[in-house]
Amino acid sequence: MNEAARQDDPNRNDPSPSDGPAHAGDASVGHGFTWRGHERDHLVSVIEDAFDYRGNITLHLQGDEDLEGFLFNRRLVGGDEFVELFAKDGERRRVPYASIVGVTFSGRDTAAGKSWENWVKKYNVKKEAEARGEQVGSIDLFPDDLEED
Amino acid sequence: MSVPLSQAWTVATYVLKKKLFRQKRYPLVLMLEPLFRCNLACAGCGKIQYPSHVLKMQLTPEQCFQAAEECGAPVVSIPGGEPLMHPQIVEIVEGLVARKKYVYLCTNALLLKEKLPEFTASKYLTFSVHMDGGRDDHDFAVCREGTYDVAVEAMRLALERGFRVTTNTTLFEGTDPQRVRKFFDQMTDLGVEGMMLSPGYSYAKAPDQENFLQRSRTREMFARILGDAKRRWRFNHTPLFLEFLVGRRDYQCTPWGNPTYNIFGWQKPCYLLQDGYVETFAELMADTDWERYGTGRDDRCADCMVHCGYEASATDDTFGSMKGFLSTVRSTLFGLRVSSPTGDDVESGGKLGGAEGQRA
Repeated sequence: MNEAARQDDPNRNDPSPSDGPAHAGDASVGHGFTWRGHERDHLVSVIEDAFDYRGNITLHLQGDEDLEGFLFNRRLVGGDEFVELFAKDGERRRVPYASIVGVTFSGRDTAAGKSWENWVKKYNVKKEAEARGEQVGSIDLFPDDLEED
Repeated sequence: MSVPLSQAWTVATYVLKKKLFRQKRYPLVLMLEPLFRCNLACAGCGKIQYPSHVLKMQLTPEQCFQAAEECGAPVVSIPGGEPLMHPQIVEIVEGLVARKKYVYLCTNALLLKEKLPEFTASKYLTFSVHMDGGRDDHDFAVCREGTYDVAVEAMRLALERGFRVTTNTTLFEGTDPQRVRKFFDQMTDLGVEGMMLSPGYSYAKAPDQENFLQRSRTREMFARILGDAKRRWRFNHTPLFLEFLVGRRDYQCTPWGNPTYNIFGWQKPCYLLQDGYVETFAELMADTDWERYGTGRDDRCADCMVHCGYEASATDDTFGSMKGFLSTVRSTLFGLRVSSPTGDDVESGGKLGGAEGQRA
């Protein structure tokens, strides 16, 4: 979603920590980002961001309903326009675009900080310390605790 | 030959039947992801980064069987996540074997020793063990010390008990060809049936987008690794795919060759790209705009040379023309031909998906 779209939107939330120029693929659309509005183009753009996001999002629906879960699919063909998500209770839900009035990137980004580069830095620091004769603890990586979210 | 004759025959007759009926697009290997949970946390992996409620989900055996039947491919690869963490994985494998599917259970082997007694050795079942090199290289790649030794012990045990065991190796930027060749020797000495190779490819959902291989460097690296390949090394690939990796020939991707099914549904368009999901295999084949994907068509595909897209192209070439078939025979009998890193003598593959293979 572009900056103009967000600025023009009177319903959008106050800027979040990840606020800034935002469009599909923009790294600034991250944890804590919220969009609210009625412009279809903006909605389509923010749903693309939500589709790429590796954490839970919350859909704000007409009628004051909120639905939190992992958005894994969206379809924009013909008259059948919907998003699909697994709600936190595991239920698979299909939601029409037309009923979405806002999106919040509510869950943490599960991919954040897990790049190969980060690992290599950590590994090199350990090897250098060991070369200096220092005792270094394990830097092994383990999966996140599944009870965490 | 690195696969049993019965498997080669099954795949060959399947492909020839598709050719006979002039079926343009057909699946070769079903990529069945029964869960995304893993007991490793390899940096840069794009397959396991999901919220915990998604990681706790898994396909039922019935969903797996239905996917296999819908798809109809003779080979089913079960990656993940770590499939051995699925509480019903034995039932899933047994059900697929009962359907005479050649199953490749892709595992990091951390749980293999513990789970092995629950499985029955069969020509239909292969443990495809994730091994990214020798001890230091593998442990570094999977971000945990000791993993190589655990995997090798489990593989040795599986081989002793009569199971088919192969390795699956992803090679990344900075790989030392000589170390890889030494690793091939180690795995060959261990007695694995075949080795599978894949260039590390930066797919869109992976957290790391910079340290994967680019196409020309991929060819150069594989030419160095496979140049003067030892005859005793056995690879779980068609000869033409290996020639593709070293730059001897060129192919366009066959994204429908390895369709992927997981808890979200049938993944569009391929195992590595996630452009959306549909409910049925028929929808996947009919509704995906296949011409949009592949080298020169989609930027995300530019550097991809992964077997899930190109092994099917090589197989199609093998059985699609006399030239492809004779090249396969020649390579099988006389060994892999490796071009210079400049790839001066690249051959173009057969007509695939309506588009000529093209030079990247």
